[in-house]
Amino acid sequence: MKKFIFLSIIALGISSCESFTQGVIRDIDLPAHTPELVGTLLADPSDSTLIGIISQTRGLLDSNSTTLLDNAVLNLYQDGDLIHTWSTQDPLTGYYVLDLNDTLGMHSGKLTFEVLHPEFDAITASDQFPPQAIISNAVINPGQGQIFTFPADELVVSVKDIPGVNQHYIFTADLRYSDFDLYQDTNWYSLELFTDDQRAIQIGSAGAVMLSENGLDADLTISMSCFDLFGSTGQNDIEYRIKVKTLSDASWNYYRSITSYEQAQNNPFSEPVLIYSNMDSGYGVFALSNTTEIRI
Amino acid sequence: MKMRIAVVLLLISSSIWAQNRTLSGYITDLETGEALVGVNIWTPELKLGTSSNTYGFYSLTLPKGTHVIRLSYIGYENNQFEIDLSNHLEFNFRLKPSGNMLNEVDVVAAQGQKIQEQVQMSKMDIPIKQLKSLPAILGEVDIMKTLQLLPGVQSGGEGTSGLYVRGGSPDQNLILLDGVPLYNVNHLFGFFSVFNADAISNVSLTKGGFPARYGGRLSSVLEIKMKEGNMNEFHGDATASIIASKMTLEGPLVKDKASFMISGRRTYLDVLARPFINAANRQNPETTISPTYYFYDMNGKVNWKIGGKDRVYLSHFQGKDDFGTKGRDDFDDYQSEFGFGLDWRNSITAARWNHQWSPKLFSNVTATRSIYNFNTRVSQQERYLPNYPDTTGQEESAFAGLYFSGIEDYGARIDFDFVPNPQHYIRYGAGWTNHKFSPGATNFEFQQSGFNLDTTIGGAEIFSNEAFAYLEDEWNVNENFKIGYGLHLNTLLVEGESYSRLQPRIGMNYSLPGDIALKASYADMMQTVNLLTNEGLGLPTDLWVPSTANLKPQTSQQYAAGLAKNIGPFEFSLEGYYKEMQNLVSYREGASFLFSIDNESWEDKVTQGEGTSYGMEVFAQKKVGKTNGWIGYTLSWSYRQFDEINGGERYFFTYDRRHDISVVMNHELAKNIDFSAAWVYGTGRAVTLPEFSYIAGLPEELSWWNFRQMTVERATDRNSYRYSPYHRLDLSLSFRKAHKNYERWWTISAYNAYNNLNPFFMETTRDGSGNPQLREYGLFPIIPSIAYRIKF
Repeated sequence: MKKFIFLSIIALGISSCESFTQGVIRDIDLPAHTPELVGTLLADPSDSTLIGIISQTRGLLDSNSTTLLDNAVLNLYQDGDLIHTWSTQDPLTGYYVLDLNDTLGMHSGKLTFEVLHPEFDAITASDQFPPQAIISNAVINPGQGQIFTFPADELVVSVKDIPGVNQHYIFTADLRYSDFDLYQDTNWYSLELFTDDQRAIQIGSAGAVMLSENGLDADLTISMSCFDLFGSTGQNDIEYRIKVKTLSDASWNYYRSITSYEQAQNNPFSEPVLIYSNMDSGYGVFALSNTTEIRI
Repeated sequence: MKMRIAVVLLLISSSIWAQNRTLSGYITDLETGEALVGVNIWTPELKLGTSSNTYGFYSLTLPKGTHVIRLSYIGYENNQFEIDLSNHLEFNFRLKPSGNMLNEVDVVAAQGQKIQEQVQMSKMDIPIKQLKSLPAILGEVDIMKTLQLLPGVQSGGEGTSGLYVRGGSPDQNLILLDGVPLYNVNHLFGFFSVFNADAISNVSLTKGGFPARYGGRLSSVLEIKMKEGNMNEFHGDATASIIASKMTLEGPLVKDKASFMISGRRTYLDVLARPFINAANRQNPETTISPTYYFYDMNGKVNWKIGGKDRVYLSHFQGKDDFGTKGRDDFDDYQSEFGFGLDWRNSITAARWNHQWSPKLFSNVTATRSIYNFNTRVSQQERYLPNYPDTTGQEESAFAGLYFSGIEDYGARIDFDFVPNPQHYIRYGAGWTNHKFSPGATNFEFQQSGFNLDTTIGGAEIFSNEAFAYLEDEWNVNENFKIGYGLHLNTLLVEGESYSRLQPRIGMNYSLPGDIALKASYADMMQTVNLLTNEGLGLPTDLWVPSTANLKPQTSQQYAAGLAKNIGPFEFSLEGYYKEMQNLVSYREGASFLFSIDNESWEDKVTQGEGTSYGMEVFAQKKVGKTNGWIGYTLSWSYRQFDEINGGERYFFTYDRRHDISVVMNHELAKNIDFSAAWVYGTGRAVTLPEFSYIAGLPEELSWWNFRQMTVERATDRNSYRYSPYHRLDLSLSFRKAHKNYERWWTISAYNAYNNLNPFFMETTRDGSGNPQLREYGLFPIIPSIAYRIKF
């Protein structure tokens, strides 16, 4: 009995060592994936071009990577009435581009985006333009800000509450020389905004700040910091352009998911992110925003 | 007239009371003097009885006269006495442990109170003797691993010791070691728990129908009682296995008055691995890497009887895990030293005073301290020597980072047991805890060429105060109907905000024909601490955080109903439950415990939502006899819903396992040979697997010139995919030999005896032809082990 047990232990030990060295791996077969149509259209009343990006889903184990799709037709409806249709693709990018003679303009009511493709069922989504932000105050305080431990300028923006509307904002800013003749430069230069405001979300790669009132109906003020790009240039020679973009709920959800996804890419400990989608019978997003700006 | 009736009634009741006498005292083990918890004491002729409390105290009020008193308890011989209750009597019972060989009558009689007689449902007591007979993983019997074999209790997966009870998460379990809450119970990244079975005398798990004396967690109460120490003789117990050794010493300080118990355990993986690591480094002397890991834990307890009515206890536990790796590059033109490490530690202390105020009134006062810390450290020093290309001279830089978090609790509570008569067992009490949370701060230091940076990001300490009070009664309404009811009131003060909740609790037991008990319960619970965990990884980096002014306490309501019956030595129970949870806390999508560049605090990374779970549990158990064990089956569903996760749609909880089966058996093959086996099966747990990819459009703020697209991977829904099912067989064979002054055991065991690959994580890779493939990785193949134990 003892010999049998002793030999069994030896055999167990050898087989387990062998298992250790071989590793413990199993390959999994996933069911075949059925491709679905994907459409993205993000629009603002100030847009003079509509850009639709159409692709299809590809399975995880599909050896062909996903690509943009040709032969799609894009339609935009307002309260059921067709207002724009296009199928022209930019030859360089493959995006579906519609040049509007003017800007898209503010449309009240519900807008519906529809994508048609001969190989897929149609996909649609609806959204409404949010009201424009009412900027009650915007001021630059040179040297009053801080980015990490470095001195910076402070930008304070106040927006008024619109009762009954859950408002979401994106703040961006740029600057240029106001005396074009003196500085021979008319370009706008983007400012990267930072904030310690715990309510806000920083879109690091964009230098923008996102903020939602989260259902609390109240006026809102946010303080942000930005580097003094023009250095010793006097403040009187600088013009700032502050853009405040209000987002619809769909737009807010999409911005949040895309920025979270970007940030999570290189972090193995991050929680999974599901990119927001509101397209029926497919994936993608149709989301609207409304931009206003103030210059100081 | 009314006054006369009232006076008459008062006189009658006084007369009745005056006819009663109370038998009270303590019940202990004859050999060790250890208090015995839950001993059943009853009078067969009157069918009145009670049971001993956590400290072995009992109180039984009976009519004046002579009565036959019967005591029964698992693993102990039946006792029957004739007691003369002409007056109130204090009598301490000492029960003799039964031998291993029992005939059927002994087996039945030794079981204690039958399951169908207990009001409390959803509670499981595991005899420590049975627990220590189960298969030992790497020579270590683990309490948490054993609990994962019970119905309604899921494991987190391979290499984890967390408990997921009835759809709850690990932070929803109140784990008490001698009445002190423990926050992290993991060694070796969850492979073992911090509980040394040799230092433990009692384990019980309550999954529902919580009595009012418990509060602060939603899903379970795990009470673990340390041994008190043998009051009569010195004894020791030592075990050496392939990765750790432990020793327990106990004995009297003053015979029959005071005793001590001390137990310690340490692994020597670091020592065993060192020769192999040195040999590997000798192959490549320019780059050396030295990983190291060890854990230890230590339990200690002293107790002192002062007179016949007072007893004081002092208990302490501490443990630590330390994982690290150091490396060194040593080239002619470049040198560097780097280091990475994780360490986490627990330390708890409890001081307790029992006092018997009267034959019917017993109190316990406890003061506690519990500290948990977790640290992650990383460091690097670099030195570019003058002959390194593109350098003008010697350049040095040094970087060090430390992520630390922790909890420090100080608390006190007082509990009363009042047994006015056999129909009522009343408990009441109150307590307070001061919490200090350090919810994750990161310190950076960087030095190079005269530049110095030393900064700390995040993790401001948060203080809170929590107070509770409760009142409960267990009422034997009549022979067929018992009811336990109570109220628990909990108040939290934090950051200028206060949260209070009155939590009703009720449980009932109705005897149906055929000696079957119909049980039902309802419990309302509130929880003020939360564990932020990456659901895919059970890491010690999981962060304990408090409820705050912005984060409401978790709450739950649980309904349960079931049937219970004893048939001979077997206990059967069938239970169904439904639980709703509110204000659950989870990381938002994309968040992680690591610091973020925009100084986001932990509160900004989390969101609150709801949970629902329901299921059915079937359990058959035999606690005594040559062959004992249990079979458990659970059918359950568990969901979560957060507005900011999964688009606000309900999704499966990560640890939603549809079917869970466990079969555990211990068998005495021969007088000195014990065999045990445990087989467990669970449906694969849920995971968010990116099932497909597509090209998404980017907003202008994220676009680069005309490039406005990004390829994204996506799952259909959160947790929509399942790992492969988990199943595992553990076997153990133990050979005992008794010598004159000691006993010894050789134990041979095999973890995962048929070498099933149980999934630990999965990833997509490419095969040799470049085609993508999905691969599931396991952690442990078959692991044999051998252990030597000596008891003296």
